[in-house]
Amino acid sequence: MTVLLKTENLKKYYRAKNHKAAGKKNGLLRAVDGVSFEIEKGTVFGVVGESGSGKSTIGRCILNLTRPTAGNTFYEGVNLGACGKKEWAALQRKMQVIFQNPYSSFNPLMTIGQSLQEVGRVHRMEKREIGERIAWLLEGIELPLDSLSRKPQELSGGQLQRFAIARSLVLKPDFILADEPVSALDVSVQAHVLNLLLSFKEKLGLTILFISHELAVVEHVCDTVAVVYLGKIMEIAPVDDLFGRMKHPYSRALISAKPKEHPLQNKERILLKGSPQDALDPPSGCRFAPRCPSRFGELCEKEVPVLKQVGNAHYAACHLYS
Amino acid sequence: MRRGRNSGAFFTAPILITGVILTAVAVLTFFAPVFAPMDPNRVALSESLEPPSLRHLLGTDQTGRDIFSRLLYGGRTAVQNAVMVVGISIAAGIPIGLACGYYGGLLDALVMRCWDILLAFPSLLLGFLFVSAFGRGSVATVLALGIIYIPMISKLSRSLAMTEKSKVYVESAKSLGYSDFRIIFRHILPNCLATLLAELTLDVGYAIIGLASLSFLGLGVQPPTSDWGTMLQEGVALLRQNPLMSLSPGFAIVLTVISLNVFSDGIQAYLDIDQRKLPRFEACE
Amino acid sequence: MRTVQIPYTMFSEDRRSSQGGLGGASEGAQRLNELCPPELECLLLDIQGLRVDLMTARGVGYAVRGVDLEVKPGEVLGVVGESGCGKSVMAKAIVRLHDAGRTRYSGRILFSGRDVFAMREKELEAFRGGETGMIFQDPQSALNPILPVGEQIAETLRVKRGFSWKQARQETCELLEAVEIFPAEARYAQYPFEMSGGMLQRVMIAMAVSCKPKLLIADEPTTALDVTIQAQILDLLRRLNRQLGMSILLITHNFGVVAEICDRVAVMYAGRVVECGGVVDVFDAPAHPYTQALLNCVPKSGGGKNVLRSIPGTLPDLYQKFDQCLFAERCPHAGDACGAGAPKREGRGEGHVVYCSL
Repeated sequence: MTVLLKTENLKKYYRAKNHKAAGKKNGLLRAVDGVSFEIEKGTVFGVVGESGSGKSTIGRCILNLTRPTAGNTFYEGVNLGACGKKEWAALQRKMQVIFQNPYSSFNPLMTIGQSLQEVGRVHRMEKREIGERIAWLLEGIELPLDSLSRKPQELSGGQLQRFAIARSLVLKPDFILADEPVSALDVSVQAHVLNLLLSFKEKLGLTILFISHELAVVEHVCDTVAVVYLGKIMEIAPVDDLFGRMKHPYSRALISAKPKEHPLQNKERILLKGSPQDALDPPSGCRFAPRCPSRFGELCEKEVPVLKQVGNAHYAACHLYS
Repeated sequence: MRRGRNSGAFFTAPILITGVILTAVAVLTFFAPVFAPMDPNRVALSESLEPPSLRHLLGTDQTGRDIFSRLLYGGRTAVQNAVMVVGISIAAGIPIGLACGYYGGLLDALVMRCWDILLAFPSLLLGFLFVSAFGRGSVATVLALGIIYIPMISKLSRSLAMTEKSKVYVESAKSLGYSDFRIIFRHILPNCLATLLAELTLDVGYAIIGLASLSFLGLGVQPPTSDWGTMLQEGVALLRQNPLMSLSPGFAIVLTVISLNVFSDGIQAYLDIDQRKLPRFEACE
Repeated sequence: MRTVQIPYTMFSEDRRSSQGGLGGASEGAQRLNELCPPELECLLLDIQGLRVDLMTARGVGYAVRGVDLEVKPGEVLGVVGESGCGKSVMAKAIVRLHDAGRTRYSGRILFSGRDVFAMREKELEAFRGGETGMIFQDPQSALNPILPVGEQIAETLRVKRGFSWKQARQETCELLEAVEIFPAEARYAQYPFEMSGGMLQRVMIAMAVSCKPKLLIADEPTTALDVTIQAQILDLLRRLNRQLGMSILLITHNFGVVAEICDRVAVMYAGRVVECGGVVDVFDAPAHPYTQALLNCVPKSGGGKNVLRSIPGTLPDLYQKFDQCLFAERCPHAGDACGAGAPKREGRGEGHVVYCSL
């Protein structure tokens, strides 16, 4: 197995400006605070977390949509932060994004066809090649050719998200960042969009970074999953290990909070107290310590735990395992 | 905001009426040589200060020039100059504003402070300044007003660009490797255009008034070239003898500016879906 | 029909006594039988043939196309459906919240035997927020951003129940404690922006139950919240339902939420109820093809990497009137009977009805 993408100690801090930040420690919002992981070629790597956990920011930093404060991302061994403009332009063709909200991810004034063609034109593809590529993609997303002449507001969310998949594939990328790609869609459509995405993954050998807050979707789609909380990775594990033998107390609480699938299902639920701490003023030790049911004293509050191997390709950042 | 295929009519009554008026004004003044019955500068002292007649639709002024012809030619000067003022402010204001909104940061802060200074300047003062630099005449006043309008348009396009920038399609354009130039002018600008259009229509009206006041003070268009502002000024002294001399350009200005305002409101109302009048159900429980 | 006044426990009396976790649905059903013996016909809310037409920029939208629905005292009824199925429009229609000139109602809504559409403006005001409470998806925008949350609750109490400021303040603090906001005194003075989404939803719930309504209408109350917070809020709703004997009409698109706290569930599609029944019955033996298909779409845990099911096709046109079954186009079992006339109402065991001609 070769590693396609690797991040090292990725950090993104924002300088907080509003009055809420006044008096808080140096007014820095630590959206992403030292995140390292590796994605193997041809796999789907999931990042799950609640709102404010920094999961979307991780994706943005990797693709340079926002510049990370510190840390490096390597794509096939090339450091994305340090490569030249030319090199970056070439790499950008290999890395594409699908966004959460399909309604606003297309220019409302252009037809879908124009939006798709523009991608190829900007990257100097031949006209004939663009046409062929789009026709092939349309077949893949199971939409008729005449839908290309529609404006975004005339299409449903599911159709638009299928076009968003098509658009991300025009340049024949190897890596796709899917940032909550089905969160805005109804369940009956969700499944279709996910199936299409996965079938393209098989056909084209794509590697996908799948960001989501929906555990059921992540469990279905991903091979490896990282659980993030307040900008830090709590646990990384193969999907079956995570949902079957999770180690970190936060993962356990998160998975137990998933609603029942059947009314008679008996579920042991760990009800967490309170809501996530502010990323402006994170706890000095383990980020999860103030809400953690298995907290065992000073160590948790003082020292930040590091990711430790706890099983086959299974890592957890918790003092319980050190 | 989502616009459906058949979402409400654009041609509502106010838009239709003011549209007709504005088209008439534009055609009559632009083709003044065609529509004017005689040369606006033809002096005939024997016909001075005549009341309206078939030969002189609006009568004549003290040197016997035909007021109706002068009104049309004067309108041509006024409208052309006003459009030029707005043109200058568009050419400079929109690109600067969009760039400030898109990039933000130091550029934005610096430019916006400059505009604040400029906005604090009374336009008359700037008019005087330009006249003393370039001499009297329409060039100086058009330039002065054009520069004064840059900050307003620039600030509007900046805030529009900031709104559009936060939308996902801009981010997705970035992720697809589009250049900033392309994103600003091919994606952001067209999406701001509708709102800008409404504002620019309004600005043409303001420019007509602004230019007329400068001409009225004798700073702008110089006689004998006819212009609504200068006509107004010439007529004031002879208000008793022939009120039409100043009333007709005054009325023309008011009519054009009101029409522009209403038209601009109409555009805005069309764009804003909540403002649009929907048919109501009959009184129901 | 006989309407029975249901005695309900006062708020402050047993607030501290029970610290309930989430219980199974059977427990709820049992409780329902105690409150409302099956031999007595007693309904809190009875919706009969409700239609709601909305005037939009694109013409008349037929958002709700004839809905029959009943809410019994003390039960939690879930209404599930995808976006555009009219579930929120229906919920708002119950308290006539739609813009009067742009909405046309037909059918009847009876609340404790009183016709909501026949109410005068004054009655309606007392009815909204007095006998019914409502909470929405986005608590952030449902609260006034420049007033402390406590004062907003106190204001409701003053207006609706004629409390003095002092009384209202005291009652508000008790309410805040009841929805597990601690310390109540300090939180009273906080502004909405100082609170998290989950906390604000608790405030909304406190406000909605401040007048001890008989029915709480919860429109996607947990959709904007994280799973861990969602679990907390559902737990709270279930507890309030038990303690106050307050019925809840819960609008959601999430079958998980239904499984979690509902006693009965109604499935909506394109403005109509296609199936309604006890929550266990519907999950175990969904009778309508749409319900079956929708339940199949939900990713199951432990299901591995098998291909997920989806429902082909799109929703029928909102702007067109229909008589026949609206799901027929997308239905795998559709036959000749489906295109002709309205789908038949059919009973499937106790309290389980399905609208399907097959």
